[in-house]
Order: sequence, then C-alpha cells, then structure tokens
Amino acid sequence: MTAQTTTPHAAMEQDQELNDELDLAFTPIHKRCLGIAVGTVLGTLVFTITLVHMLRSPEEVYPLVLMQQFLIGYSVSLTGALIGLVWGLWIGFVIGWVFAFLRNLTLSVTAFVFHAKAELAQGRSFLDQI
Amino acid sequence: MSTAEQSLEETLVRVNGRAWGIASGLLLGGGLFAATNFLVLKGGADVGQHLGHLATVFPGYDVTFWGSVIGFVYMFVIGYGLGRLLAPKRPLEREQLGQHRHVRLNGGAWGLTLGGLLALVLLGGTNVLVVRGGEDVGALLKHLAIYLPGFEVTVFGSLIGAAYVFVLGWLIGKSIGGIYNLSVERAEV
Repeated sequence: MTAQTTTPHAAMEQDQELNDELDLAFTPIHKRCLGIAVGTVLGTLVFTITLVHMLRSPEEVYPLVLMQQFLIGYSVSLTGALIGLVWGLWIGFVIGWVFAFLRNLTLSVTAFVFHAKAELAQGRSFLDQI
Repeated sequence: MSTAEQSLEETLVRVNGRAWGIASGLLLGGGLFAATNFLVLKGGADVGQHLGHLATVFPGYDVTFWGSVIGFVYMFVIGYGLGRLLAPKRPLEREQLGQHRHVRLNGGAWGLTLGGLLALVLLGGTNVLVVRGGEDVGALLKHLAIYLPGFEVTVFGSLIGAAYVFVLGWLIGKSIGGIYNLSVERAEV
C-alpha cells in the first residue's frame, strides 16, 4: 500500500495552477473596445435602415419616424440618417461599455465572495483546533 | 482531468455565464426602464401610444413609472437568458489568451446565437399572430416588409422573415466580435 503524500513543492505547483485557472476565468472584457464594436454596428444599422426605408417607402415614414421620440434631430432623410448614425454610435458605445462594466463587476464581486468564503472556512478550521 | 478539476471548470463556466446573464439582464431591463420613463417625463397628449403595445407580450406593462418597473423585470429575465446563451460555454485556455490581458470574443458563436434567436422570435411572434387571427392581423409587424422584402404576416412569410433576420443577426454578431477583437488587439499593443 502506498501512502499519498503531497510535498510542499507539489502543493505550491497545484496552487499556481489553480491561480492561473482563476486568472483566466476572471479575465475582463475591454470596456472601451466593446463600446466601439457595438457603437459601430448600431450606428451602421440605423444609417442603413433609414436609407433602405427612404428607397422602399419614400412617402410613408411610419414606423421609423418613431425613433424621433428618443433620437433628437433624427428624421427619415439623408441628414436624419447621418444624425441617426451619430446617435447609434453613441448609444451603442454606452451599451457596450455598460455591458462590459457590469459583466466585469459581477465577476469581480463573485471572486471577492469566493475569496471571503474560503478565508472564513480556513479561519473556522483554525478556530476548531484551539 | 480529475473530478475536482472538472468540477472547478464547470463552476467557473457557470459563474461566467451568470455574470453575462446579470450584465445583459440589467442592460435590457435598464434600457426599457429608461425608455419608458423618458416618455413619461416628456409627457404629451397620448404618452407612449406605441411603446404601450408591449403590453400585448408583457402583461401588466404600461407607459407609467410602475409599468416601467414591471417592464424592467420582464426584460431582466429575457436579458438574463440571452446573456447565458451568449456566454462562453468552455473555460478559456491559456493558449487562447496568450499574453493578452482581455477576453477575446467568438464572433462566429455570437453570430449564430443572435441570428438563431432573432429568427426564432420573428417566426414565433408572426405565427402567434397568424393563429390568433382577427381583423387586421399583425398591423404593426407587417411594416417589416419594408426592410425584409417578401415578409408578410403568414406562415410562409414568417419563414422568409426568419431567414432574413438570421442572416442579419449573424452579421451583427460576427461584426461585433470582429471589431472588438481588432480594437482589443490594437489597444493592448
């Protein structure tokens, strides 16, 4: 029968591996870059949709005109499409940035809770022995 | 891989999925909450006569402060599900990340998920209206034909619309992933 023993060196290696794995799991999303990506796509989408609408239904501005309620200066016209592009870039940037921020924040809070629980568990076993 | 390692990986993927879910839930919920209250504060003769149509799919929602709270809850649940779907299903590998300090997005997976979801929503939504019937079936939805030629509020039309939005969703997901990865690459230089 062989006794399973863990040398201090092996234990340190295991710890290092675990830390590496945790670092990977909690790698953040780049907020500004996600903002740029979502903004570019949303801006292009608003611009293209407006142009398609102008080409396919020039007389009837409904339902696209409803965006005027939220996007000041927007209209179903070429100028409106450009204003919509700018609004889309801005709103998309905010959406992407906020999403990345919330996702990173949630993971950081989770990591903090895991850490606190682990420390508490260690402390408890210590207290049990005195 | 040992059972402990497998269990750790599963936990990390689950935690990551939950973070994606909470983030997109808060974003979508907050979006509808802000849009509703923006209209409420703006005021006018018939506040939110169009946004109020959401009550058809979200019972209890209306364009008032309390309606926006109910809308927040509905959109949070939908956003949470969407986030769980978009979240990476496998833990990151050291080789994938290399020396980078930020996550890279899988544009292909995002594209397929977004495209599939949009197609399902349009297919489901249109056919629910077709089955329900009435005088003017899909009075609002039929405007989509302006952007999706061939779409109409019929079973066949819903299939054409689903094909269009699948491609659109795929393009959106792929573009977001591509642009994000490119700009992170530049930002980390």
